[in-house]
Amino acid sequence: MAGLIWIHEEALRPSHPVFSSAPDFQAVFCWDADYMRRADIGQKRQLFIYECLLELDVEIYQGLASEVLPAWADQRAITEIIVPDTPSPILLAEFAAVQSALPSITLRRVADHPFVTPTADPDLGRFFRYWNKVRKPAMRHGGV
Amino acid sequence: MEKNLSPEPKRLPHEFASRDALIDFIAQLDKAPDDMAAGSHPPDRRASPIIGGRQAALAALAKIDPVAYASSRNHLNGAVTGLSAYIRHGVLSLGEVRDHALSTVGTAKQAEKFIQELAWRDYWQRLYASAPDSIWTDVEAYKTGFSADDYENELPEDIAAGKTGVACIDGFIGMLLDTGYLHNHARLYVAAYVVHWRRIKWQAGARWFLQQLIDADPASNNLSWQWVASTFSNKPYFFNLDNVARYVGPDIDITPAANAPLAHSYERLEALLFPNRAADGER
Repeated sequence: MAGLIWIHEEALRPSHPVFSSAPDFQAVFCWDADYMRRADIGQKRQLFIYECLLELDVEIYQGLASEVLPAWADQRAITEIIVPDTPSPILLAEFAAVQSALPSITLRRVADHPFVTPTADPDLGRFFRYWNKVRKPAMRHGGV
Repeated sequence: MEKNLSPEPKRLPHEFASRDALIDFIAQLDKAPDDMAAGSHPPDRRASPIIGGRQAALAALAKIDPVAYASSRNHLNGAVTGLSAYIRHGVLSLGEVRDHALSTVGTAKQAEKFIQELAWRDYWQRLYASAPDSIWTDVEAYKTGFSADDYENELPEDIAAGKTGVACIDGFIGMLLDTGYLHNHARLYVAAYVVHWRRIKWQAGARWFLQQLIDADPASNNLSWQWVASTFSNKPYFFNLDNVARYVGPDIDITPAANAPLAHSYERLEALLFPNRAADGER
Protein backbone atom coordinates (compact mmCIF):
# COMPACT_ATOMS: atom_id res chain seq x y z
CA MET A 1 0.00 0.00 0.00
CA ALA A 2 1.34 3.42 -0.95
CA GLY A 3 0.80 6.56 1.03
CA LEU A 4 2.31 9.72 2.39
CA ILE A 5 2.89 11.36 5.74
CA TRP A 6 1.49 14.87 5.83
CA ILE A 7 3.51 16.86 8.34
CA HIS A 8 2.28 20.14 9.77
CA GLU A 9 3.74 22.73 12.14
CA GLU A 10 2.78 20.90 15.36
CA ALA A 11 4.90 17.76 14.86
CA LEU A 12 8.38 18.78 13.74
CA ARG A 13 10.53 15.95 15.12
CA PRO A 14 11.57 12.63 13.58
CA SER A 15 10.51 10.69 16.71
CA HIS A 16 6.85 11.73 16.42
CA PRO A 17 4.76 8.53 16.19
CA VAL A 18 3.49 9.59 12.77
CA PHE A 19 6.89 8.73 11.29
CA SER A 20 7.21 5.31 12.92
CA SER A 21 3.63 4.43 11.93
CA ALA A 22 4.64 4.31 8.26
CA PRO A 23 8.44 4.37 7.90
CA ASP A 24 8.31 3.74 4.14
CA PHE A 25 6.05 6.68 3.34
CA GLN A 26 7.48 9.97 2.08
CA ALA A 27 6.76 12.93 4.38
CA VAL A 28 5.40 16.13 2.84
CA PHE A 29 4.93 19.64 4.27
CA CYS A 30 2.65 22.16 2.52
CA TRP A 31 3.80 25.78 2.85
CA ASP A 32 1.09 28.31 2.13
CA ALA A 33 1.31 32.04 2.90
CA ASP A 34 -2.45 32.41 3.16
CA TYR A 35 -2.63 29.56 5.66
CA MET A 36 0.18 31.18 7.68
CA ARG A 37 -1.84 34.39 7.86
CA ARG A 38 -5.03 32.59 8.88
CA ALA A 39 -3.13 30.71 11.59
CA ASP A 40 -1.46 33.95 12.82
CA ILE A 41 2.01 32.56 12.12
CA GLY A 42 4.27 35.57 11.62
CA GLN A 43 7.59 35.68 9.77
CA LYS A 44 9.79 34.98 12.80
CA ARG A 45 7.83 31.81 13.52
CA GLN A 46 7.88 30.88 9.84
CA LEU A 47 11.68 31.04 9.99
CA PHE A 48 11.68 28.78 13.05
CA ILE A 49 9.38 26.27 11.33
CA TYR A 50 11.43 26.25 8.13
CA GLU A 51 14.63 25.68 10.13
CA CYS A 52 12.95 22.69 11.77
CA LEU A 53 11.93 21.32 8.37
CA LEU A 54 15.51 21.59 7.07
CA GLU A 55 16.54 18.89 9.56
CA LEU A 56 13.68 16.53 8.70
CA ASP A 57 13.43 14.08 5.84
CA VAL A 58 10.45 15.92 4.40
CA GLU A 59 9.66 17.40 1.00
CA ILE A 60 8.36 20.97 1.22
CA TYR A 61 5.83 22.10 -1.39
CA GLN A 62 4.34 25.52 -1.92
CA GLY A 63 0.57 25.72 -1.69
CA LEU A 64 -2.42 24.69 0.37
CA ALA A 65 -2.56 21.05 1.45
CA SER A 66 -5.93 20.65 -0.23
CA GLU A 67 -4.25 21.56 -3.56
CA VAL A 68 -0.76 20.11 -3.13
CA LEU A 69 -1.69 16.71 -1.73
CA PRO A 70 -4.22 15.79 -4.46
CA ALA A 71 -1.64 16.72 -7.10
CA TRP A 72 1.04 14.72 -5.28
CA ALA A 73 -1.37 11.79 -4.88
CA ASP A 74 -2.30 11.95 -8.57
CA GLN A 75 1.31 11.41 -9.56
CA ARG A 76 1.86 8.44 -7.25
CA ALA A 77 -1.45 6.57 -6.86
CA ILE A 78 -1.52 6.54 -3.07
CA THR A 79 -4.29 5.11 -0.94
CA GLU A 80 -3.52 6.54 2.50
CA ILE A 81 -2.45 9.82 4.11
CA ILE A 82 -1.19 9.80 7.69
CA VAL A 83 -1.17 13.06 9.63
CA PRO A 84 -0.28 14.10 13.21
CA ASP A 85 -3.46 14.74 15.18
CA THR A 86 -4.21 18.23 16.52
CA PRO A 87 -6.86 20.15 18.44
CA SER A 88 -6.45 23.17 16.12
CA PRO A 89 -9.70 24.03 14.29
CA ILE A 90 -7.71 25.63 11.46
CA LEU A 91 -5.71 22.45 10.87
CA LEU A 92 -8.78 20.26 11.31
CA ALA A 93 -10.47 22.31 8.57
CA GLU A 94 -7.44 21.59 6.36
CA PHE A 95 -7.81 17.88 7.14
CA ALA A 96 -11.46 18.08 6.07
CA ALA A 97 -10.55 19.95 2.87
CA VAL A 98 -7.96 17.30 1.94
CA GLN A 99 -10.37 14.48 2.67
CA SER A 100 -13.01 16.21 0.57
CA ALA A 101 -10.55 16.61 -2.33
CA LEU A 102 -9.46 12.95 -2.03
CA PRO A 103 -12.63 11.05 -1.02
CA SER A 104 -11.24 7.62 -1.91
CA ILE A 105 -8.12 8.00 0.25
CA THR A 106 -7.97 7.13 3.95
CA LEU A 107 -6.84 10.05 6.10
CA ARG A 108 -5.51 8.63 9.37
CA ARG A 109 -4.73 10.85 12.36
CA VAL A 110 -1.87 9.77 14.65
CA ALA A 111 -1.74 11.16 18.20
CA ASP A 112 1.53 12.13 19.88
CA HIS A 113 2.71 10.17 22.94
CA PRO A 114 0.57 11.40 25.87
CA PHE A 115 2.22 13.36 28.70
CA VAL A 116 -0.06 11.63 31.19
CA THR A 117 -2.84 9.07 30.90
CA PRO A 118 -5.32 9.85 33.68
CA THR A 119 -7.48 6.98 34.89
CA ALA A 120 -10.58 9.20 34.51
CA ASP A 121 -11.27 12.42 32.63
CA PRO A 122 -9.79 15.19 34.79
CA ASP A 123 -11.80 18.28 35.75
CA LEU A 124 -10.54 21.05 33.45
CA GLY A 125 -12.42 23.88 35.20
CA ARG A 126 -9.19 25.19 36.75
CA PHE A 127 -5.58 24.06 36.42
CA PHE A 128 -5.09 22.85 39.98
CA ARG A 129 -8.15 20.59 39.85
CA TYR A 130 -6.49 18.94 36.83
CA TRP A 131 -3.02 18.91 38.45
CA ASN A 132 -4.29 17.21 41.61
CA LYS A 133 -5.58 14.35 39.44
CA VAL A 134 -2.52 13.94 37.20
CA ARG A 135 0.33 14.84 39.54
CA LYS A 136 1.41 11.28 40.30
CA PRO A 137 1.62 10.02 36.71
CA ALA A 138 3.12 13.36 35.61
CA MET A 139 5.90 12.90 38.18
CA ARG A 140 6.33 9.26 37.12
CA HIS A 141 5.45 8.14 40.66
CA GLY A 142 4.91 4.42 40.68
CA GLY A 143 7.58 3.86 38.05
CA VAL A 144 5.25 4.34 35.09
CA MET B 1 -8.97 7.48 -22.23
CA GLU B 2 -5.78 8.60 -20.49
CA LYS B 3 -6.31 10.39 -17.20
CA ASN B 4 -5.00 13.96 -17.00
CA LEU B 5 -2.60 14.11 -14.08
CA SER B 6 -2.42 17.29 -11.99
CA PRO B 7 0.84 19.20 -12.46
CA GLU B 8 3.50 18.44 -9.84
CA PRO B 9 3.35 21.14 -7.13
CA LYS B 10 6.32 23.48 -6.70
CA ARG B 11 8.96 22.03 -4.41
CA LEU B 12 10.78 24.42 -2.06
CA PRO B 13 14.52 24.15 -1.36
CA HIS B 14 16.34 22.52 1.56
CA GLU B 15 19.64 24.31 0.98
CA PHE B 16 20.38 27.96 1.80
CA ALA B 17 23.70 29.75 1.81
CA SER B 18 23.01 31.38 5.17
CA ARG B 19 20.29 32.15 7.70
CA ASP B 20 19.94 35.59 6.09
CA ALA B 21 19.23 33.92 2.75
CA LEU B 22 16.51 31.82 4.38
CA ILE B 23 15.04 34.95 6.02
CA ASP B 24 14.85 36.67 2.62
CA PHE B 25 13.30 33.57 1.05
CA ILE B 26 10.59 33.40 3.72
CA ALA B 27 9.86 37.11 3.39
CA GLN B 28 9.26 36.53 -0.33
CA LEU B 29 6.97 33.56 0.36
CA ASP B 30 5.06 35.58 2.93
CA LYS B 31 4.29 38.50 0.62
CA ALA B 32 0.60 38.96 -0.06
CA PRO B 33 -0.28 39.47 -3.75
CA ASP B 34 -1.08 43.14 -3.05
CA ASP B 35 2.36 43.64 -1.56
CA MET B 36 3.94 42.13 -4.66
CA ALA B 37 2.19 44.65 -6.89
CA ALA B 38 2.75 47.72 -4.78
CA GLY B 39 6.07 46.77 -3.21
CA SER B 40 4.58 48.41 -0.14
CA HIS B 41 5.83 46.77 3.07
CA PRO B 42 9.56 46.22 3.37
CA PRO B 43 10.24 42.71 4.73
CA ASP B 44 10.66 42.41 8.48
CA ARG B 45 14.20 41.05 8.71
CA ARG B 46 14.23 40.77 12.50
CA ALA B 47 14.83 37.12 13.38
CA SER B 48 14.59 35.26 16.65
CA PRO B 49 17.88 34.19 18.25
CA ILE B 50 16.12 30.87 18.95
CA ILE B 51 17.13 28.54 16.12
CA GLY B 52 14.65 25.98 14.83
CA GLY B 53 15.43 22.28 14.60
CA ARG B 54 15.89 19.15 16.66
CA GLN B 55 19.64 19.66 17.18
CA ALA B 56 19.15 23.09 18.72
CA ALA B 57 16.26 21.72 20.77
CA LEU B 58 18.36 18.91 22.23
CA ALA B 59 21.19 21.35 22.99
CA ALA B 60 18.74 23.57 24.89
CA LEU B 61 17.28 20.54 26.68
CA ALA B 62 20.74 19.46 27.82
CA LYS B 63 21.19 22.80 29.60
CA ILE B 64 18.03 22.84 31.73
CA ASP B 65 18.36 23.13 35.50
CA PRO B 66 14.99 22.32 37.13
CA VAL B 67 16.21 23.32 40.61
CA ALA B 68 17.41 26.77 39.52
CA TYR B 69 14.27 27.10 37.42
CA ALA B 70 12.04 26.59 40.43
CA SER B 71 13.73 29.35 42.42
CA SER B 72 14.30 31.96 39.73
CA ARG B 73 11.80 31.43 36.91
CA ASN B 74 9.76 34.56 37.71
CA HIS B 75 12.79 36.81 37.18
CA LEU B 76 13.43 38.03 33.66
CA ASN B 77 17.05 36.93 33.93
CA GLY B 78 16.16 33.72 35.78
CA ALA B 79 16.98 30.15 34.74
CA VAL B 80 14.18 29.77 32.23
CA THR B 81 14.77 27.03 29.68
CA GLY B 82 13.90 28.55 26.29
CA LEU B 83 12.22 25.25 25.35
CA SER B 84 8.74 26.67 24.71
CA ALA B 85 9.03 27.05 20.92
CA TYR B 86 10.36 23.49 20.59
CA ILE B 87 7.55 22.07 22.71
CA ARG B 88 4.92 24.16 20.92
CA HIS B 89 5.97 22.79 17.54
CA GLY B 90 6.48 19.21 18.64
CA VAL B 91 10.26 19.36 18.18
CA LEU B 92 10.43 18.06 21.75
CA SER B 93 7.67 16.02 23.37
CA LEU B 94 6.47 16.92 26.86
CA GLY B 95 7.28 13.40 27.99
CA GLU B 96 10.91 13.47 26.90
CA VAL B 97 11.42 16.88 28.52
CA ARG B 98 9.89 15.57 31.76
CA ASP B 99 12.01 12.42 31.69
CA HIS B 100 15.19 14.42 31.08
CA ALA B 101 14.31 16.82 33.93
CA LEU B 102 13.84 13.88 36.32
CA SER B 103 17.20 12.45 35.26
CA THR B 104 18.99 15.65 36.31
CA VAL B 105 17.76 15.82 39.92
CA GLY B 106 18.44 13.81 43.07
CA THR B 107 14.78 13.50 44.05
CA ALA B 108 11.69 13.87 41.87
CA LYS B 109 10.40 16.58 44.22
CA GLN B 110 13.21 18.88 43.04
CA ALA B 111 11.78 18.81 39.51
CA GLU B 112 8.13 19.18 40.53
CA LYS B 113 7.76 22.91 39.81
CA PHE B 114 9.33 22.44 36.40
CA ILE B 115 7.10 19.44 35.60
CA GLN B 116 4.07 21.36 36.81
CA GLU B 117 4.84 24.00 34.18
CA LEU B 118 4.94 21.24 31.54
CA ALA B 119 1.57 20.11 32.85
CA TRP B 120 0.19 23.59 32.16
CA ARG B 121 0.88 22.97 28.47
CA ASP B 122 -0.89 19.59 28.64
CA TYR B 123 -3.80 21.22 30.48
CA TRP B 124 -4.21 23.96 27.86
CA GLN B 125 -4.14 21.38 25.07
CA ARG B 126 -6.81 19.25 26.76
CA LEU B 127 -9.01 22.33 27.16
CA TYR B 128 -8.42 23.20 23.51
CA ALA B 129 -9.38 19.70 22.36
CA SER B 130 -12.50 19.68 24.53
CA ALA B 131 -13.81 23.02 23.22
CA PRO B 132 -11.75 24.19 20.22
CA ASP B 133 -13.84 27.24 19.43
CA SER B 134 -13.97 28.53 23.00
CA ILE B 135 -10.47 29.93 22.95
CA TRP B 136 -11.61 33.06 21.09
CA THR B 137 -14.68 33.69 23.26
CA ASP B 138 -14.94 34.76 26.90
CA VAL B 139 -15.02 31.61 29.03
CA GLU B 140 -16.69 33.66 31.79
CA ALA B 141 -17.76 37.30 32.19
CA TYR B 142 -15.16 39.96 33.05
CA LYS B 143 -14.84 40.51 36.79
CA THR B 144 -13.53 44.04 36.43
CA GLY B 145 -16.74 45.99 36.90
CA PHE B 146 -16.92 46.40 33.11
CA SER B 147 -18.73 44.39 30.46
CA ALA B 148 -17.05 43.11 27.30
CA ASP B 149 -18.65 45.98 25.36
CA ASP B 150 -16.64 48.47 27.40
CA TYR B 151 -13.39 47.20 25.84
CA GLU B 152 -12.04 48.35 22.46
CA ASN B 153 -11.81 45.80 19.64
CA GLU B 154 -8.58 46.93 17.99
CA LEU B 155 -5.03 47.07 19.26
CA PRO B 156 -3.82 50.69 19.07
CA GLU B 157 -0.81 51.48 16.88
CA ASP B 158 1.29 52.77 19.77
CA ILE B 159 1.05 49.41 21.52
CA ALA B 160 1.83 47.41 18.36
CA ALA B 161 4.89 49.61 17.79
CA GLY B 162 6.08 49.63 21.42
CA LYS B 163 5.62 53.38 21.72
CA THR B 164 3.12 53.66 24.57
CA GLY B 165 5.23 56.11 26.55
CA VAL B 166 5.35 53.70 29.52
CA ALA B 167 9.04 52.83 29.56
CA CYS B 168 9.02 49.29 30.92
CA ILE B 169 6.08 48.25 28.75
CA ASP B 170 7.84 49.67 25.69
CA GLY B 171 10.98 47.79 26.72
CA PHE B 172 9.07 44.50 26.89
CA ILE B 173 7.33 45.11 23.56
CA GLY B 174 10.71 45.94 22.01
CA MET B 175 12.03 42.54 23.16
CA LEU B 176 8.97 40.86 21.67
CA LEU B 177 9.30 42.61 18.31
CA ASP B 178 13.05 42.07 18.09
CA THR B 179 13.26 38.43 19.15
CA GLY B 180 9.83 36.79 18.86
CA TYR B 181 10.19 35.80 22.50
CA LEU B 182 9.20 37.31 25.82
CA HIS B 183 9.66 36.02 29.35
CA ASN B 184 6.36 34.78 30.77
CA HIS B 185 6.27 37.40 33.53
CA ALA B 186 6.73 40.18 30.97
CA ARG B 187 3.90 38.66 28.91
CA LEU B 188 1.64 39.03 31.94
CA TYR B 189 2.71 42.65 32.45
CA VAL B 190 2.06 43.56 28.81
CA ALA B 191 -1.26 41.71 28.73
CA ALA B 192 -2.47 43.41 31.92
CA TYR B 193 -1.39 46.81 30.58
CA VAL B 194 -3.29 46.22 27.30
CA VAL B 195 -6.49 44.93 28.90
CA HIS B 196 -6.71 46.90 32.16
CA TRP B 197 -4.82 50.16 31.64
CA ARG B 198 -5.89 50.63 28.00
CA ARG B 199 -9.20 48.72 28.19
CA ILE B 200 -8.64 46.72 24.99
CA LYS B 201 -10.38 43.36 24.46
CA TRP B 202 -8.04 40.49 25.32
CA GLN B 203 -8.68 38.99 21.88
CA ALA B 204 -6.86 41.88 20.16
CA GLY B 205 -3.80 41.40 22.35
CA ALA B 206 -3.90 37.63 22.06
CA ARG B 207 -3.90 37.75 18.25
CA TRP B 208 -1.00 40.20 18.27
CA PHE B 209 1.03 37.89 20.55
CA LEU B 210 0.22 34.89 18.33
CA GLN B 211 1.58 36.76 15.34
CA GLN B 212 4.76 37.91 17.10
CA LEU B 213 5.81 35.05 19.38
CA ILE B 214 7.57 32.07 17.88
CA ASP B 215 6.23 29.81 20.65
CA ALA B 216 2.64 31.05 20.80
CA ASP B 217 0.05 28.35 20.97
CA PRO B 218 -3.58 29.44 20.53
CA ALA B 219 -4.71 27.58 23.65
CA SER B 220 -1.91 28.56 26.05
CA ASN B 221 -1.76 32.09 24.72
CA ASN B 222 -5.46 32.91 24.58
CA LEU B 223 -6.40 31.25 27.85
CA SER B 224 -3.51 33.05 29.58
CA TRP B 225 -4.82 36.35 28.21
CA GLN B 226 -8.24 35.34 29.55
CA TRP B 227 -6.65 34.61 32.93
CA VAL B 228 -5.22 38.15 32.99
CA ALA B 229 -8.49 39.68 31.77
CA SER B 230 -10.51 37.75 34.44
CA THR B 231 -12.67 35.92 31.89
CA PHE B 232 -10.92 32.68 32.92
CA SER B 233 -10.05 33.48 36.53
CA ASN B 234 -11.71 34.82 39.64
CA LYS B 235 -10.22 38.32 39.48
CA PRO B 236 -8.23 40.49 37.07
CA TYR B 237 -4.44 40.24 37.15
CA PHE B 238 -2.68 43.58 37.54
CA PHE B 239 0.64 44.75 38.89
CA ASN B 240 2.49 47.90 39.90
CA LEU B 241 5.93 49.34 39.25
CA ASP B 242 7.31 48.00 42.55
CA ASN B 243 6.48 44.50 41.34
CA VAL B 244 8.19 45.07 38.00
CA ALA B 245 11.28 46.38 39.80
CA ARG B 246 11.57 43.13 41.75
CA TYR B 247 11.74 40.94 38.67
CA VAL B 248 13.46 42.77 35.80
CA GLY B 249 17.12 43.35 35.06
CA PRO B 250 19.01 46.60 34.45
CA ASP B 251 18.06 46.79 30.76
CA ILE B 252 14.48 47.81 31.62
CA ASP B 253 13.79 51.41 32.66
CA ILE B 254 11.84 51.30 35.93
CA THR B 255 12.08 54.94 36.95
CA PRO B 256 8.72 56.23 38.25
CA ALA B 257 8.81 59.31 36.02
CA ALA B 258 9.02 57.12 32.90
CA ASN B 259 6.32 54.72 34.13
CA ALA B 260 3.80 57.03 35.74
CA PRO B 261 0.63 54.97 35.07
CA LEU B 262 2.16 52.03 36.96
CA ALA B 263 3.75 53.94 39.84
CA HIS B 264 0.99 53.53 42.43
CA SER B 265 0.03 51.31 45.32
CA TYR B 266 -2.23 48.35 44.57
CA GLU B 267 -5.07 50.06 46.41
CA ARG B 268 -4.75 53.18 44.27
CA LEU B 269 -4.48 51.14 41.07
CA GLU B 270 -7.53 49.09 42.00
CA ALA B 271 -9.52 52.31 42.33
CA LEU B 272 -8.09 53.77 39.10
CA LEU B 273 -8.43 50.67 36.92
CA PHE B 274 -11.64 49.18 38.27
CA PRO B 275 -13.73 52.07 39.58
CA ASN B 276 -16.98 50.13 39.22
CA ARG B 277 -15.75 47.10 41.06
CA ALA B 278 -16.83 46.82 44.67
CA ALA B 279 -13.87 46.91 47.04
CA ASP B 280 -13.56 43.32 48.09
CA GLY B 281 -10.27 43.27 49.91
CA GLU B 282 -8.49 41.25 47.24
CA ARG B 283 -4.76 41.69 46.94
